[in-house]
This record gives sequence, C-alpha cells and structure tokens, in this order.
Amino acid sequence: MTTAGYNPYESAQLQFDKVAQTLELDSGMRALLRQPMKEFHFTIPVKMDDGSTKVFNAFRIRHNDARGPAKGGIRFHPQETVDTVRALSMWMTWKCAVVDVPLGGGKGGVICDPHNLSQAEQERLCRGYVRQLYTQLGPNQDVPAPDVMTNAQHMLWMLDEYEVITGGHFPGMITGKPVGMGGSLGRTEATGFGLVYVLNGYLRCIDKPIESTTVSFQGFGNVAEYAARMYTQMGGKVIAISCWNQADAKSYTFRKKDGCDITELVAIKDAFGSIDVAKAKALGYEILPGEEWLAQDVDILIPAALENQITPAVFPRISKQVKIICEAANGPTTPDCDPLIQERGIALLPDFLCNAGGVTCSYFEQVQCNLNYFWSMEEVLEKLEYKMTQAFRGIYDLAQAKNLYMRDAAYVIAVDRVVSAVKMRGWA
Amino acid sequence: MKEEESTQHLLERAKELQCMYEVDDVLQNNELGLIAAMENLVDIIPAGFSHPSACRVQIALWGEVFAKADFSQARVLHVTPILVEEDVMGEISVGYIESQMEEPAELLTNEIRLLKSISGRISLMALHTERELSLLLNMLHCIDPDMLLHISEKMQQHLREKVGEKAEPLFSGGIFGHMQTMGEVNAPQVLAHDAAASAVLGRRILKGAMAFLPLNAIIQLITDWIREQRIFALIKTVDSKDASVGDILDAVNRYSEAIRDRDSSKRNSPPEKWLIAEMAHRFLTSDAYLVDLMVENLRIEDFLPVLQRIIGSGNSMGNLGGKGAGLFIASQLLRHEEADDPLLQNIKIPLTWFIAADQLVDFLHFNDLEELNSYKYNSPVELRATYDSVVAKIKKAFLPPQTVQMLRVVLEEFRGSPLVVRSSSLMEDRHSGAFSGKYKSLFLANQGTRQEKLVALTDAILEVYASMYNPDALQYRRERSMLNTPEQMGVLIQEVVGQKVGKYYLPAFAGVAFSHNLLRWSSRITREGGLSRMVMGLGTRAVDRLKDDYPVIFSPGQPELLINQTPSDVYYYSPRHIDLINMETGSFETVPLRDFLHEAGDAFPHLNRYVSVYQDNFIQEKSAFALSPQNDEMVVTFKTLLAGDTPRRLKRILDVLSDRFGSPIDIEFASDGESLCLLQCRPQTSGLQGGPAPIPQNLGHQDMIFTASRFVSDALIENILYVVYVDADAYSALGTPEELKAVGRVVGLLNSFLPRRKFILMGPGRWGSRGDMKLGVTVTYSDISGTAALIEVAKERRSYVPEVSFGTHFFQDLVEAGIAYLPLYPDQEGIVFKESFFRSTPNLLPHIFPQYAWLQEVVRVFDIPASYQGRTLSLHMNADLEQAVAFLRGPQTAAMAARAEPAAEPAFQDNRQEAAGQHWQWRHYMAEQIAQSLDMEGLGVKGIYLFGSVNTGDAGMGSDIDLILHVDGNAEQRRLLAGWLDGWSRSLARINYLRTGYEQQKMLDVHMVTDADIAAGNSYAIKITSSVDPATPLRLRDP
Repeated sequence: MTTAGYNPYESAQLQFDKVAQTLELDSGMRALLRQPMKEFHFTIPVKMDDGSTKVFNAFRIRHNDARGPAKGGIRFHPQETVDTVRALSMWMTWKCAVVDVPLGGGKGGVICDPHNLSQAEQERLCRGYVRQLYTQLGPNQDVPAPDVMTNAQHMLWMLDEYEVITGGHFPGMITGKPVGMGGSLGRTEATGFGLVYVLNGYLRCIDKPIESTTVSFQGFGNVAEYAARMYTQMGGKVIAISCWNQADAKSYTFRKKDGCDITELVAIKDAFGSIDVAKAKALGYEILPGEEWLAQDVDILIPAALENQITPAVFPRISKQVKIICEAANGPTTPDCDPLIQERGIALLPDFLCNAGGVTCSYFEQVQCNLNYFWSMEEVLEKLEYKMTQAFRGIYDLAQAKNLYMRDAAYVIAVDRVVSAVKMRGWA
Repeated sequence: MKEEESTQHLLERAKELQCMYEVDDVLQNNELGLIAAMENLVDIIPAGFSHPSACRVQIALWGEVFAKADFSQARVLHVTPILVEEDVMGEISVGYIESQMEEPAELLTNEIRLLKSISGRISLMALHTERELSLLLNMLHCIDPDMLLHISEKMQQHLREKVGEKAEPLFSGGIFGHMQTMGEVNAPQVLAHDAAASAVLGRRILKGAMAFLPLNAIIQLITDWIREQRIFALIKTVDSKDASVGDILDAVNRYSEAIRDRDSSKRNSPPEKWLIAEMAHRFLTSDAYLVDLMVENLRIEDFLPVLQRIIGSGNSMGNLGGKGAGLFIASQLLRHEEADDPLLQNIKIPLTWFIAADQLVDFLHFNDLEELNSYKYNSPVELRATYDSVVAKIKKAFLPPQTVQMLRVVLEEFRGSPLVVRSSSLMEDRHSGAFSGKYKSLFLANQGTRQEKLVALTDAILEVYASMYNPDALQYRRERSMLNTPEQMGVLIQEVVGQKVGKYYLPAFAGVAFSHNLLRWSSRITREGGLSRMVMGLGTRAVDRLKDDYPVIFSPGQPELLINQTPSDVYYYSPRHIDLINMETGSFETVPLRDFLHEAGDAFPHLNRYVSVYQDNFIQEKSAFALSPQNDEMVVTFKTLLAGDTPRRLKRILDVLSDRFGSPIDIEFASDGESLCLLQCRPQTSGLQGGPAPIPQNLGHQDMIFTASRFVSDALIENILYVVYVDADAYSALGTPEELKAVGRVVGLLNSFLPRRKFILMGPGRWGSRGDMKLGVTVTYSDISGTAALIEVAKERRSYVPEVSFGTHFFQDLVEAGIAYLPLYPDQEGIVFKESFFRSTPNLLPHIFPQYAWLQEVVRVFDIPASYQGRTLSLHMNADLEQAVAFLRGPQTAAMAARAEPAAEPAFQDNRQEAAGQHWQWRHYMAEQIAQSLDMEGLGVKGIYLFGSVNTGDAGMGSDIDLILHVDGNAEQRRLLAGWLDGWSRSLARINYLRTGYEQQKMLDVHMVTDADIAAGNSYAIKITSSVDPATPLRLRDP
C-alpha cells in the first residue's frame, strides 16, 4: 500500500483538486493547500521493560494552520505510513473549517503495535513523543487528540509530559481527556446530537416540523443511539433500526410502525450495539432482515453503521417517501449513487457535516481548558446546537444560491474558508 | 609467718575449689560417656590436693575400675564410697606415690571433704543416668517387650561397631552372641529364647552401654530404633492386603506421633521410601513418574490429612481417583516449597473429603445394580435412549449405610459451607484433560436442616455416579480404546472457596492457568510465561468456552502485555455473566454481571480490585470510596489485582509444579478475596492438534511449499485439499476501498463453500484488522471459521517487514476452534517459500465465483489433488523445535504412511477415524433414502444432489447433510416439499443425537435452485457443475 494501489493521500489531493477547480484557485494557492505545510518525521527511543532500547518512527504533520492551531489525532499503528497521516491531516483542515471552528488541520502517528507494548512502555512512548516535539505542540500551536489505538490515558501521559517540560498547566494542549481531567461534558452525545441539529436545521429550512417526520436508522452504536434519542425527544418518530447481531453473525431490522422507544431498545442492547432479538420481539418489535431498514416508508434515512451501504444496486429499494438522507457514518453512500440521489430530489446531508459534532466538542474542550472554566452539559449542548446549525445554514445557503449538491457545497465552503484565511494572512 | 600460712591455706582452698569446678564440668558434659568421664576425673582430681604430681586417684563404679597405671605404687590414704540411694555403687581412693615426694604427707581435712563432695557428685550423676535409662527400659519392657529386645540387639550391634572388643564382655552368654550379621529384626529367633532371660540380658546390654556412650546418645539411638520399628509396624499394615484405610490411618498416626520431633534431614530411609511408594500406589496413582515424584518429595505423615478424610468401607482400597490425586500431590509439593518462597506461602487447599473410587462397586452391589457393569457395551443409540432411565435408577438407589454415616460426619465438619461435589474417576485427569467435563461437578448451597443437607449431598453424589454412564463419556472412552479398562468413580466433596455477598456465595475471582502458553498475541509473549483465564465468581465460566462471554486472559509471566488495547476492546472482551451460588434458592446460577453488581456490588469486598469503570471510552480504576456500583458502568479487568503479586504467585505455582511434574501442567484456582486456593492440577493437554508434529527430515525440495521457523505452535494438519492464497502485491495494488473489501467478501464466500477444515488460508499481514481494512484483509471470525489454518505472510516490502497480527483480532476464537495459526517470514534466510507454487498452480476462483473473476490476481484458490496428480498438502508444526513445514504428499506415500502410522500414533486416533467413517456412511445412506422416497413429480423436483462433507466423506458427528434440490414446482408444491423435508430433517437430527449426543434441531441443509439459477450460475446452482467438490446427483426425474 505504499506505491501502487489505494493511496489515501492521492485520493485526498484528487478531491481537493476538484474543489480547487470549482473555486478557480490560482496555482500558488493550490500548491499550498494540496500538501501539508509542515512535516515532522522523528524517532522516539524507548527504554523497554527488559532494559533494551527500541526506537520508534513517528510523524506529526500540520497541513494548514491559517485558521488557528492545528488539531488532529495521534495514531498508533504498526503499518502507519506518512501518506495516510498526510491525507488525514488535510481532512482535519476541511473538517474544522466546515463547522467554522478556528482551528487548522494536523495529524500524527507512531509506527508501533500496542499489542507488543506494556502499559509502562506505552507511557514512555507517549512521553517520548512529546519530548521530541514539545516545541511544536501547545494550545496555540498544535493540539493532538486520541485516534486509532490511542485513548484518553495516552493523552493524559502526553499532557503531563508537556506540562512537566514547560513548567506550567496547559490543559488546552491536548483533547480527548476524561471529564474532571480537562475533558468536556457532552462528548459521548456530541456526534449523535450534532447530526440531529443539522437535520433539524434542514427541516426548518424546508418548513417541515420535525414532529411530522419519520426515520429509519442503520446501526445502533453510540452515534445512532444519541441521534435517535435527540430526534425522538424533539418529537420525531423512529420507525425502524437495523443492527448487527454478534451471535447470529447477521443484521436484523427492528421495526415498530407507531414509533420505537429508544430507551427500551438501549436497555436491551449490548456493548457493541446488538439488540437482543428475543427481548425486542417480546416488546412488540417486528424483526425483519437487516437490509430492510432501507426500504421503509419513512421521510428520512440515517445510515449510521458502515461505509458503502447505499449503492446504485440497492437504491431502487428506497421508498418514494424518503426525502432526506442524513449521513451519520463515514461514506455510507457510494459516489456513483450521488447522481441518483440528486435525480430523485432527495436532500443529502453529507457525512462531512453530519458527524462534525465530535470535532466541535473537541474544540469546546480546548476552549474550556484555555479558560480553565468548564461548562455544564446544557451549556455545551446549547453551544453545539448553535455551532452545528450555523454550519448547516452556511452550507445550505451556498447550495441554494449556487445550486450545488450539499456534499459539494460543504467542501467548497470548507476550502473557501481556509483559502480566505490564507489570503488575509498574505500567504498566497 | 602467720600471714604466709594463711596465704598457703587460701591457695589450698583455691586449688580445691578449682578442682571441684572441673569435676562438675566433666560430670555435666553430656558428650562424654561414663568411661571417658571417669578417666577424665582420674586426671583432674589430683590437682585439688597438696601434692598434685604425686597424687593418684582410682574410681570404681558399677564394677569398673578407673585409674592411672601407676596407682598401685601409691599409698592409699583415703577411700570414700559412692552411694546411690544407700547402696554402695563404687568408691574413690586417693593416695600419694611417696617416692615422688620430698617427705611423706597425710591428707588434709579439707582434702577429705573434697573427696566426699566429688563422690557425692558422681553418685548424683550415676543416680540420674540409671534412673533415666531404667525408666526407659522398664517402660519399654512393659509396653513392648519385643521392642526392648529389638533395641538391645541394635545396641549390641552398635557397640560392636563403635567400641569393638572392649564392649564384648557385655554380651557374654547373650542371646545375640552368635549372630554374625545383624540385619533386620529376626523375630522368630528372639521368640525362641526364654523371654524373661532375654529381657534381663537386653537390659544388661543397654545399661552396659552407658559405660561407652553418653546418656543423650543412648536415648537418641533408642528413639531412632523405636521409630524404625514403628515403620515396620506400618509396613506390616500397608503390606497386608486386607488392611483397611482405617488401619493404615492408625499406623500412620502412630508413626507420625513417634517421629514428631525428629530432624527432617534424616528422614529418607529405605523403608520410608518403600512405604511412600506403596501408599502412593494404593491411594493415588499407578503412574510411575508421579510415584517417583512422591517418593522424592513427600513424607509419610503428609498422607495423614488425606487418609483422615477418605470415605470407604472396611474393604476399600481407598483410591482417590485422578482429580483427588492430582490435587493432593500438587498441594504437598507446594507445601514443601513454601518455606523458602514467600510467593508460595498461604496457598490453601479447600477442605476436601474423598469417597474412594471403589465405593461405586459397593454401591452397585448394595442396590443390586451390578447389571450396570456391562451397560457400557450397549450401542450408542441404546445408551442415549436409556441413559435417562439409568439416571433415574441410580438416583432412586441408596448409598450404603456406612457411607451415609460418614457423610453425616462430613457435613458436621463443613458446618454449612457451600459444597462442590466433583467426580474424580480413575481415568480422569490422566490420559488427557479433554476427559474433563464429561463427568459431573455439582454445587450445593448446603443449607437447611441436617437431614436436608444430607439428602442434597446424597443426591449430588448419586448424580455424579450416574454421570459415569453418560453416553458422551462412554463414547469418549470407546473412541480412545478405554472402554475395556475398568473405570471407577471417586467423588470429591469440597468446600467451595468463596465469600458471602448478599444472598450469594462466590469466590472473588477464579480461573484456570496453564504453564505453557500456546496463545501468543504478540511476538514478545513467550510460551514459558504461561496463560491464565480468569473471571469473577465461580471458575466454571473460565474453564468453558462460551459463545457470548469472555474471561479475562493474561500471561502470569508477562501480565503487562495486554491482549486488548483499546478501551472499547477491553470492554467488549470482558466477562458479561457471573456464576455463583444463590443461598436463598440453594442453587447454582448464572447471573448477568451488571445485574449482580448493581444488586450486590456494595457488599462485595474490595470490588475495586477487580473492576474498572468504563466511561466515555476511558477505563479508569476507582478507589473503594469512589466506586459506585449503582451508577458506574463497570468492566472486569482485574487491573489492580494483576498489578499486585497474584500473577507472580500463579507463575510460581505453575513453575514449581511443571518443574516437579516434568511436563506442562494446568491448574484451577479460586480466591475468597484473601488467599489463593488451588482447586485442581493436572498435566496440560498438549497442543490443539495433539502435540508437536514430527518434522520430516528427508523431504525432497520439490515437495516443500513453505517452511517457518518463528512463533510456531503445535499442529498437524493432513490431507489439505485446497489452498486459498491472497497475494500480497496484488492485494496492495487494489485501487479502492471497495475493492479491498471485496477480497474479504470472497474469502467469506470461499469459507462457506470449501469443505470445512480441508483448506488453509494464506495472505498478507494482518487478517481481520477491525477498522483499518486498508492494512489487512477485512474478515470477521465467521469468514474464516472453516479453515484448518490461518497463515499470515509477512513479505518484505522494500526495507521493512510488515508485522503480522498474531491473529489478535480473533485469536481466542482460533485457538478454541482448533484452527492453527502460523506467521510466515518468506524473506528470512533458510526459509522455503515456493513462489512458483503460488504463481503457477491453476486458480479456481473464476470457476467457483465467476462474478469475482476480476479478483483472480488477488485471491487464488488451488485444488491440490487436481493440480498435483492426486497429492494433498500436509502442514506439520512443532513448537518445541520452532519449525513448521508444508509439503505435498503423494497418494502412494499417503497410503503407506496411513498403514505405518497407527503404530506410532496413539491408538485412539485410529478409532476416531473409524468413528468418523460411521458418521459419513449412515448420512450417505439416509441421503439416498430421502432421494428414493421423494415424490419428484408430485412435489415438482427435477433433481436431488448431495454435496458437502457427506459427499466428500468427511462428515463428523455434527455435520449437516447438504442437499441441492433442483425444483420447478409451484408455490404450493414448494411448501409441501419444504414440509416433507423438514420432517426428515428433524427426525434425522434426533437419530443423530441418539447416536452421538450432538444436539441440533435439523440435519438437512437444503438449497433449492431453479432452472434460472442454473442458467445464471447463481449461488448453489454452480455446485451442480462445479469443478471443486461437485455435487453428486442422487436421483434425477425422468425426462
């Protein structure tokens, strides 16, 4: 996966090139934005538990910080490549811009397999990462977060090392911390709630009360669960939810035509979102094959499970009643499906925007840390709603004005925000 | 002058005093025998007199006279008698040799007083010695005259050896005088003499010994000899065929009483060794290695706690059975180590009673149930059909009255603690661990009135007895040629290790541990580090593999290398349920962990050592004060516990026991929260495929496909018919995520299509990476469940070797399903990886799944026999040698090997193959019957085809019969057909259950295909014309 074949960096550049074309960017601007501005490639020597020393290769890549300090996760992966990290850092730039938070894009990675490392060694690795890079990190420069195979514990070790070296307290130097240690309330709910705020924003625009709508979900993980909770709380009716069943190794759709009770379904689901079939049956749910979620007569489809679920092959099964597809998962709709969606006049709320609640909440965490003042849950959610609604309005207005597909509008608006920041700074 | 005189006077007093002190020293010296003491005194006493150089002393005591040779030249000036209780025992005479003096002198008054004092001291000493010895001898004489004789005989021998000629007069006219070689007691000869005379003589010898040996030494010798004699008593008991367990217990008791204070270093005399070996054989095991082990490590009195708790009739041999023996030996080995090793201290064994294995015979006899002895020879079908009635019969029977009587005593001792009644059969835990689980273990709350407790206990014992006739157990024995070996069922009644938490009783944690870790989830995990599976509550959930639950797994030697890294994985792969005893209902229950913790978490001592809190994708340990069982989402991680010394203690136990047993072992353990208890110990069942496979040394290079030399576990896989190979370069050249994902889908399809366990999967790097499909073939466990082996190929890419995943993502599933895992490093020096094989063998993928023909460069499917003249692939993996080799095996060689192998392989494998043949044959017969009786016209069936394992002859006891029905009927005909087949399916499943005990609802796996399907080559339709494992037509409708 290094030279030939699928290269995420190349596909990210390709995607940017298309938007650049739409925005008619000049060559200097294109050259600046289609590659990262700063790359750090470094080694981290780690004293292992047995006394030997092992050297790990690591990266931190800052794609663009014209709009604010770079933000992005640190990944631990044995087959990490610099191109993956580059692509992901570029994604972060657009992601922060689309919700209009004043942050840039970055990403980091260490080539390692945590299965081969004890907790103590992982701690030394995290601290080593910060020691090598601390001049480039900080609440005003570059703010890491958890990613593949890293979690809050790793963030706390990194924060501590940073604070020991710099001799102060800078909780805003990193995000993804537990509540009470500089973390923000509402992170669990943020992505799911954010999605519904976007959906509700659209419903208001088309003047359709949420209470009159119905939804079918694919997936019942964290995002879907909180989205469903918020959606029903706002008065909407969830007709069907499909989810994977670990024991039977297939998925089922759970349907209740007069509306699912999310709380009761949550009570009978396990850690990985499998709903107990027998109990659901007892609660009066119809059990349908997994793929039936898509064929329900509802107003809104929310694919919140896997990539590539809505394809040209299954598209005809979508009910004529469906007017909105709200992408909660990453890339649930294949690109070749976009023309079909447009043709039918279905509004597509793109993943890029819909799942930005997470990054917004990370931004809130950083803000609270910098203030050293932490908000209540209500405050967090209120600000989240405002931010998401604003972000949606921007995209919707642009899409209306320029007659753009909302997915394209989202990219355009994100890139354009970065472009104008770059211009104002006089970089290009 | 006066002053001079008084100085002289004082000097004399000083001398006398000094003399007195020295005399005292000699007389109080326990090391000196009588002779030595007196000889010393003869030297010392003259120094107390005015003219020491001329002074001579003679001491006569008990007829012995001690003096310097020149005493006769001296003029005796004073004689003082030595009185012992008014009897004159001897005298002290003092005189000067006048030729050595300037002028003759008399004794001073004080000097005479000195003599009297010395005489008094000697009297006291004599009195004391004689008293002690007489007392001892009198007592011995009264209690055991034989013992007295034995001891005097020993003394005679001892004196001859140590003192020689000088002691000879003691033995004159004696009873033992003519015996030249002194062996063991020769009882009949002794008895031939006049007992009274012998006793007198014996006493004489022993008393006479006082002249040569200090009293302490004599007493020590006598004690030793008494002890030795005790052993003979014990030998007599143990050796006697009709000695009851009680007799032996009695003898051991007497023995251990006698040797209580003895120095342990002196205790490995031949008789003791013999005894231990005999007792080991009788009570524990006939395994030669284990008997050696006990002889080397155990002491006779170690058997006491076990002997005290054997329940057996008068004629019982008292054999504990496998489980009981294993636990006993292990616990004693640990006990002997604990003094030197703090990690082994305070390891407990739960209080256990044993019902001897042979009590089953008494039980059957008592209830006139001898017919059951031949029950095992019934056919499997009959066994299954009648098992319920056997259980009923046994449960209605009665335990013999003396057993019931003992059970009352047992219950008294357990005082209402919950009990587990476990099988401990002679065969169990010896041949292989797989036998475990075939017989029953039952938990009892042990609550209620005495009578209720007794009834419950009796009932449980009967149920354990009944499980000996369990068709599964009998089948298992049949398959391993153990059916004709007599089996007996011992029963352990053991206290359940645990604590009361609310209305429940359960251990804080429990689990199993293996000294040999065959699951390596990282290159750093070593086999020697061991492996443990641990849960909260009863260990039953750690022992068994459960579909929807996971124990916490760690390596006791390397607890810091965790299997699960992300908080969500830790949460997911954690225990969901807990096994416990509900004291209110008196039953064993499985309760959702979450419910249990909500209900009883507050009452659970030290809960925070066992659980962490999972919140917002973060796992956190909380203090006992902060943890809130009602509000926190808890996950069992044992994080705090594992950071303490529990892993090190487990490791130490495993190390010590596997070292002593000379082979890898596994143990069961539990803790009440305070101390660690050992519950079971047995040899670890070797690898998944039955131990290391031999690595053939003379393979032709042309036959070798690949070799491996790193991280190899044990496996032997033969007759591999297909290889599914994912080419690393072609895979990484795929352009889009969709294409990458399609590879995973094809693998999943092949998995259900190819005959189970007859193919192997090979491919790049990390199979099944969750969430990161770009970096490895995205599969779930169900996509690979049919493979015989999963082989991850780490081909060098430019300058680095990609890491393999060690099957981390589903390694637990792999191991427990018996799927071998092997990482391959083709670029390593000395490794064979035949590129040409993988490149040029014809690829079947386009024929099997034409719709995926576009992936043929990436996914290659090889039919080995079709491509290599009927040869098959064998994969031999040997962990001890760290070597693995896959090679083609010619049909000729395979047949020859098949003939040669049974001699080398354990016999049961042969039998199993035969049994497997039976599974296939009757299924095939039934499939033909279905085809024959099918109304093809009426139900709209054009053809019926057989495929899958019944077709290929690989069907096992759980196999389905896979049928394809080519149909052209209408909906109604289809419905009737489905109903007709369903009836067959259910009845076949029932028959299969009766034959094998394998429970399934249905046995037919029917796939209906239409003309259109066949034309389109859809799904199973292609099987009809497939080149791989094609379906066989059973019957076709006449056109």
